[in-house]
Amino acid sequence: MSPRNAAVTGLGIITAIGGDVPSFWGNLLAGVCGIEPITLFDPSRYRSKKAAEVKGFDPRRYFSHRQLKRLSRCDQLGLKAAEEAVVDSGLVLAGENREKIGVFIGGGAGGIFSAERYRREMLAKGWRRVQPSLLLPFATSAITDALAERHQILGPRATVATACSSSATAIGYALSLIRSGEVDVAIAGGSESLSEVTFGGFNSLRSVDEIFCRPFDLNRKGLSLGEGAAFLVMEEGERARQRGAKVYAEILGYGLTGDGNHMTAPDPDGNGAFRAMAEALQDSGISPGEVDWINAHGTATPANDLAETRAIKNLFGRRAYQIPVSGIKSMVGHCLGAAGAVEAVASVLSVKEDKIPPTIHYQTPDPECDLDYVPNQSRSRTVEVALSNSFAFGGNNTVLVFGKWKK
Amino acid sequence: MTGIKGSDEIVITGIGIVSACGVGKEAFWANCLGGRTGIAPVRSFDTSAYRSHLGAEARDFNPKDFMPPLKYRRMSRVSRLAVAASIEALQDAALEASPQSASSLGVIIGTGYGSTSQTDDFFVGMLREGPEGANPSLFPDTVPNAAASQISIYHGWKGPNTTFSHNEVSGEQALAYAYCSLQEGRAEALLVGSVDEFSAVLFHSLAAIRALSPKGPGEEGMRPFDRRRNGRVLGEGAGILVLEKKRRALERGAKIYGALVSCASTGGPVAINQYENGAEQMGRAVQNALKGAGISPSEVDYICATANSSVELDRAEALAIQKVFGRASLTVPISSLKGHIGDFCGSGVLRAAALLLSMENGKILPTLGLKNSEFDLDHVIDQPRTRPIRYALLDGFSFGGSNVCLVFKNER
Repeated sequence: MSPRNAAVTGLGIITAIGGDVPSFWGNLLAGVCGIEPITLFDPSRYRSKKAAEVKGFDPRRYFSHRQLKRLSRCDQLGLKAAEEAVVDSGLVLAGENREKIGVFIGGGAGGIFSAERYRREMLAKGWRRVQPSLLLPFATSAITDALAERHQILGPRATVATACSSSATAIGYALSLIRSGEVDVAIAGGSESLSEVTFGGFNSLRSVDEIFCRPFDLNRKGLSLGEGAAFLVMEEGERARQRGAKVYAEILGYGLTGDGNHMTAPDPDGNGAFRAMAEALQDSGISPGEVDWINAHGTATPANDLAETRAIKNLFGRRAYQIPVSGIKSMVGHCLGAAGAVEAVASVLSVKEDKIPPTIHYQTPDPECDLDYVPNQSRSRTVEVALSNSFAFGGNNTVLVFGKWKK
Repeated sequence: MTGIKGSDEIVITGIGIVSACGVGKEAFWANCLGGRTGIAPVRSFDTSAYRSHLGAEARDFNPKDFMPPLKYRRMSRVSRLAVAASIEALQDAALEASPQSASSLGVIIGTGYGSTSQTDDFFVGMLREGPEGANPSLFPDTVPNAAASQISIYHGWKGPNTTFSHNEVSGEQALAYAYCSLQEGRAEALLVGSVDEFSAVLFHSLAAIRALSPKGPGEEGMRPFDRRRNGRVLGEGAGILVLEKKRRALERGAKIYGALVSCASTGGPVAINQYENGAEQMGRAVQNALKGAGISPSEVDYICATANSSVELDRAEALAIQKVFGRASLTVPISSLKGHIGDFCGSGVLRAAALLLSMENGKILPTLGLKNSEFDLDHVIDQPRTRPIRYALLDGFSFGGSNVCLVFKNER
């Protein structure tokens, strides 16, 4: 019996550059920038005033007044994207064995956008006058429980909270449990909403670019925050084949490492990133020579992009210069807990469509970051294997590997 | 997940504990046997505005007893608790990272809320003074993965590093993923733990949503399974274990506390923040965990319950146990540690640590606060019960409907 593998049979996404998969993918290839002035809170006193905010999202279209009382913005974005993925998969969950379906979600600050409002009003008016229901969806796992409840899913669930790599790890965990047979279907992804705490935090660390982030550019000054949600429906391969599902790609493997170095700075040589990529390839049974595209972490902080570039060169040697490396955060911003899932969706589509999204805002080459960063224009190119990098605060690194589905 | 046997088994070779009922595993165990509780009137802030006044604060904890101030100066309380427990666990396991082994040694942590106090300080600074009030030295430790990251930085463990944050099963999820990673060969050894801190802001938030005792009439207190229970008492602490393959533990002559032989997760379709109607899927998690371990309910010598003195959870757990164990539910000892350590999301691995100490010493701790049980179970009350333990079940049930149950086996 061949080992169990995992097919991606459904996708869903909501980001600043698209509220569903077709618009996201179209804008991603067209190089549309979603980084614009913030409207969710007043940014006027900050040095930077922009982020990749999801606009035109009216939760009342999707949720009842009663439901909304218990859902943070993070949950709303997540449920919307997950719904698209489930519908896209063609699975009717009510007719499935829901004990063998799992929910694996990565998050960051969870319901902090609601909690923030609570705290602001509490300071202004005293706590007896504030709506405590704002605190109900505070937990990062609220989205996981809400999604499982919505579809009456009875299988395992887990919520990963490793900031910028959370949802990549959640997807990896889902793969582990599909392989082991614990689940047959997994809904995996992540969700994050902007909040003043995270915005203020990254601003206080001076790691935000005031204009827009410019991954791998010589003049890069930092990241642009984003928000959004992205989900994959993952399915045991044989099962997907038997039901004649449309399969986008296969998730071949993943790697997980720790820098063990510093809370906010990456290991300067990118050692943790290097090992995460190497382990991901090993887990996938793929040699470095087979990788066609790297969907970089590319936050556009001076240190991250250099460390990531060094890691890629160390792993791929001279071939590093032949592998296109894209930083899509230049368009969708850094969606933190959702970033890994947003980039996973882009990677899956890339493998399916043989198209590579660009790194936009790329103007001036950096002599130390001298790889092919796909500047400003998307490309058509066969993508048999794509690597998707997610490296978090604290040195929590996760790398996912996607490959073409072999019928 | 199915159980594994022989030298591929995953064993526990180190324990570290920081809790309101004792700092360090020796003190913790002595206090537990002595019938002492960590629950007392809250001292770290004024509770007079609330109906609740009790808490389980780790008052004896001083990070200086574990590490130099330079190391912990910038750590939040939650990171300090976790790093301290990891130091004890590693000493206990006699394991040190070398440059060759570092990348095969990982850290998996569960935490419900992370550094609530530091996050609040950071945000209030911003609210009061605007962007200039945002203190950049506070921000890094506001991320939930700070504790796991600080542990890896402290010990130089560079293998898999991740954090789970899922309400009251955060620690159980960390254990389940650790089990999965070791089986898949992603690491040689893992520091696996869970942690949460007691803070004014968390206490306030739980009081505001009425999640603390006294809910309704009656005296405030932690009384798991009791007829007069009326809600949870918040606690804090950290429990950290060292997990590795048995083969490796035997090779290096490590002391083995027990084996983790099975993990099972299920989901109950219940609303976020609620326990109601969860019994059926709780029962299925228990059943699958026993099945994974290849044992029948009557082979279980001890059930370490989740029961946290909330009306709904304790009832659902009792129903689940009665359903799966049938008549054996009258003869398999069950107790909840929450009367000793309070209730907090990241208590799972601390409860696992206590379970392993029970296994080592052949003593089952009583459920403190339980006087008059509502349920027909073999409760351990008042005094520790002496009984050899071969297999023990750790129940992990959370509001919101996530269930993770684990079976541990005595290797002696």
